[in-house]
Amino acid sequence: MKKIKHYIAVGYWQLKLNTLCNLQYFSYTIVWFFMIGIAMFSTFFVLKAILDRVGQINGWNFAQISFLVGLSFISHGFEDMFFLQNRFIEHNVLEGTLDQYLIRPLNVFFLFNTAHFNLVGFYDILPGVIILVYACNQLHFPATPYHIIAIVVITVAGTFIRAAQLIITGSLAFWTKKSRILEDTNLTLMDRTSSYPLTMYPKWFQLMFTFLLPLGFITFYPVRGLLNITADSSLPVAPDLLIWAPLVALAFFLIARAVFNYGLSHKYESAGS
Amino acid sequence: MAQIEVDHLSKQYQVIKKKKGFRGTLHSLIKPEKVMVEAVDDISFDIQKGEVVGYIGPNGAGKSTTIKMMIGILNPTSGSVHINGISPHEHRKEVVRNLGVVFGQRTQLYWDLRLGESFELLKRMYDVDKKAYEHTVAELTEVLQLQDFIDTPVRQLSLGQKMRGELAAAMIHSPSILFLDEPTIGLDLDAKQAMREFIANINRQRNVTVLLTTHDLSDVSELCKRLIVINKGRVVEDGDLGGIVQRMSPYRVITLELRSPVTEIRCPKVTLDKVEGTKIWCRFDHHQYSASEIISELARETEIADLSVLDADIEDTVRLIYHKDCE
Repeated sequence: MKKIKHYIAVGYWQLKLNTLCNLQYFSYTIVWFFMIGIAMFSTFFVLKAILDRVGQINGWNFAQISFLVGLSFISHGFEDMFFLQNRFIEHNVLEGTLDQYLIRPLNVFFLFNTAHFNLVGFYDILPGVIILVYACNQLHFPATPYHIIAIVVITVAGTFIRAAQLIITGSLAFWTKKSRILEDTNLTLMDRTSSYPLTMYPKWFQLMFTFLLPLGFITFYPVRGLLNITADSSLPVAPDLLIWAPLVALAFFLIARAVFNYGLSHKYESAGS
Repeated sequence: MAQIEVDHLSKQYQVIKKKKGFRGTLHSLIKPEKVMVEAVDDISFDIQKGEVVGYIGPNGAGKSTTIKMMIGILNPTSGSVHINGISPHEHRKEVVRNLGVVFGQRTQLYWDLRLGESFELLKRMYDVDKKAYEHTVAELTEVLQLQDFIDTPVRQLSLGQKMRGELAAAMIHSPSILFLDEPTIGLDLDAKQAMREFIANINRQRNVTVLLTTHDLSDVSELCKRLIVINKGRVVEDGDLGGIVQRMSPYRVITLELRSPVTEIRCPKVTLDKVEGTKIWCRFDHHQYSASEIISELARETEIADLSVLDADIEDTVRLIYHKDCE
């Protein structure tokens, strides 16, 4: 219990200090707020223009896809707020800056993942919330405790799946020294698998993003279950039950943590001074 | 039991030999030639509690690699390290709780925040009791004269102020061992002196063990009684600083202020190093000849107005050790 309290105190202080750091550059965050808002809403309007013409994509109408997009933006925002530093593990490996965590009497994975709070991630969340509220209205989504909890669960699970994906690809830098380019690909991959119905892709693609890299659980599967959209029966299992999302997130995150820890203890070489 | 025990420690890195040109690069990709580089090669030493040890060597000698293995950042290929009887590789968190580390070329402070806010975070990291923290910060503020800039954002501090902040940050949890990797690099004379006085004080007052890595040999001569010299990954000298200097550098320098200028000295027992007007510098082997013997012989051929005899210089000694090991 004392140990948990100690970690909470350190995490809280890292969060607090990082927020103060972010506020030093408040004008930059405001610019980011407008830029990201424009970028996210443009995605939304392009999607609306397409669906106004075609009506549906693989059985999903505009309001249902907006639900996916909203939740995808929200988990993207939380991932940016708390796990953005994993995109830059390459830099830490090449510059040897993980040394600063290794000299502290705490878990390095914890320290690294709480050491960089990124306030601009919050601005990614706002357009997501607006789009989600719009979709809920269009779908007459019931505001029952179960449905509200379900949205929270999908958001948290989606954030951790995204984080795990970033951590695993970022940690490849322990072996390859370079991983930044993969992280850029990651963002595209995660947004395209969580903002659109996964069933619009070929079957092998769906299998890969269900069983190999479980990005389908960021939004697609839990939302399909929550909105009662007819399941595609081409896959051997139907992972639409809400419980799968947090279970997959937990497993994927634990694997990511193991990859990071293994790379750190076996492959990290620091850097010359 | 020694506080720091390093036993047959080695660290090898596998590197891929890069070949020249496009064909070479392609060849390295298809059939990489892997070479083992011995960064640290079978080194052993013990450090007792309260010692201040200079750990020096030329660039790439393996100093930082040794220190990183000692504080648990790197795993050794073979051999072992024990700090207070505990292995940093098996129990890193337990070991580093008692260590203070300063990397002169890397900061552990929050760039955009006040210096004091970084201390607050370290207080939580090391779980330092509020009373002890307040006492330590007050003490460090006084000794390192932090009061003028403790509330200033780190990015606005001068290099000297930042280094004082780094040193204070390393001492927040009152560690029993301090690893200092080039703590005076880039500092002006006053800032260097302040750092040295602080290190000497905490060693004297708190009996903190200090392992100092530096290229500035004035740091070593002012702070360390013991010197460990490492070159090409191996310890080439380990012992009392004065003893090493005496043994390795057999020369003393005699400086003479003459009544009239000379261009050469006939005395075969000395080597004329430098002439500047009426001032000359001569070197002699103090193992063979005494200073009085040399002075009386020089007095026979010149008219001496003033003189001084200097002991062998630590820089000359260290240079000799480095070069001797290269031969």
